[in-house]
Amino acid sequence: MKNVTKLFPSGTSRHSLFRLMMGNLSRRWAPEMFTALRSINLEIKRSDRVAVIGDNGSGKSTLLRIVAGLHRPTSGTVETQGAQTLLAGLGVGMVDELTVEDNIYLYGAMHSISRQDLRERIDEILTWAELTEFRQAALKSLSTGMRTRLAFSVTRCIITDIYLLDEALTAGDQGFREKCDLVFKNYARKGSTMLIASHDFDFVERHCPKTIWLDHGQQVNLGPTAEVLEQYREHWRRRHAAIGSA
Amino acid sequence: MDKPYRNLVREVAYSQYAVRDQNTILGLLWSFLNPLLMMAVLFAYFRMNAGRDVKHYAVFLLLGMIHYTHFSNSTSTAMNVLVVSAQLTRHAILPKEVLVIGSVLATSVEFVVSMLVCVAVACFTGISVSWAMLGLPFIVVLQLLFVMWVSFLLSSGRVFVKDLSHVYQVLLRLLFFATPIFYATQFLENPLAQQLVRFNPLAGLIGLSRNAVIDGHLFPVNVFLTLAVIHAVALWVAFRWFKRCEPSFAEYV
Repeated sequence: MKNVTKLFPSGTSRHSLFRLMMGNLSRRWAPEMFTALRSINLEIKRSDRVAVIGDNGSGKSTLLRIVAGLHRPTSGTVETQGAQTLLAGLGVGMVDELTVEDNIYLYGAMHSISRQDLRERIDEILTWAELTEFRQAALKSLSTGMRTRLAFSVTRCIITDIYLLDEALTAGDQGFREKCDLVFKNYARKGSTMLIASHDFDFVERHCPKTIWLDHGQQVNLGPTAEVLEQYREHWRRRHAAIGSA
Repeated sequence: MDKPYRNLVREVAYSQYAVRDQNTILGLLWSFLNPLLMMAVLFAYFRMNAGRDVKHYAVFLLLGMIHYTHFSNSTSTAMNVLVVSAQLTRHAILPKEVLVIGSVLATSVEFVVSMLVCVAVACFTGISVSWAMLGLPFIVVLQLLFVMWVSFLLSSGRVFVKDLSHVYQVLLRLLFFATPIFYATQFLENPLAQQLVRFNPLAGLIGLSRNAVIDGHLFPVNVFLTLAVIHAVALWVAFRWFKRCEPSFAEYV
């Protein structure tokens, strides 16, 4: 990723579209823009596991979406090699009215897992998610935690080169997190490349040797996780102190 | 299309097909009951005027309604699919045409079933079975091509212009009256109106179906090939436009 900047039109999209069209005719009509990312330079090598940290609105999700090809950078270039999967919230695309089994096939297909593979692994997927007896239940009858387990259980079957995780593991109890840890360790053993946006610093410390810190779309630091996290915490301590004294 | 995406199209089509009318008592029967009931209303109303000189008016009407209902339902659903599935549009790395194709296929199952039921109704009402009816699958393919390219244009446009869904509902009502569904083309006395019908793609497809089922005339091969080429080219242009817009979908949806 070289010198990547991303601007989004502010205001409603309809309004923005009109102004984007009119903006071509006159600068007076050009839409107001806000900068989601500014001059980001990032090189991630094969098998690297990099965390993206920062406050809400700092550009973490935008960074992942640009790497995933869902957004085009306004300027700069992005190059990736290999297949990639973006997990932005577990269970996105599952359908409430369908059964758990149907959702396994649907969600798996969204992540390019063949029906044949899923058919062979469906018992194991349900067992891992502790949902064996819910196979024919409607998805809407499951709790949030159960859905998260189901979705993550399916994503374990994904075979890809690059994993992009955007706050994918915010739900779930301690037991689930421990099971997920094992899965991520397995990814690391296999040499998968991972870019993980997260507020969970324990998770980041356990799984990501490198971290990039974004603040208002700008790259503050990129380096060893312990060093960047310490710098980020120090930044927050100072900010809290400033708020306290005010 | 790559194999994983063919698999995804199938799953998306199945999921959309399975959840439709799931909570109604008659379920998927509604997909055929809708045009049938509409046909009954129109039959009662127009039998003595617009349909007076039309032979087998009930089947004539039913074929028109089936084509129109499929076009209307499929394009309306596909138009909104990127917005309704906003989570997928924003967050999933998949070619977004999968959602549009899946949506069209889901609504097309009932079209195929309706055509079969219509043939059964035709036989029941005294129309003799003919070889020309074997041409119906080719007409179904033409209709699918037509619906597909219109859906690509509408779904990409809907992401950027929210008003499109309202405007399209008005256009669909206009199309209902501008298409010879409850009247024969000869019923129109104005030459300009006749010309408009002549260039209405839906009217052409309905005409082919009526010829095959009611008159027992199979369309000439050159007519089929000409229509197939026209719709295939339109589909190619619409698809290229859709792919050109695709990188902006996640930002605007």
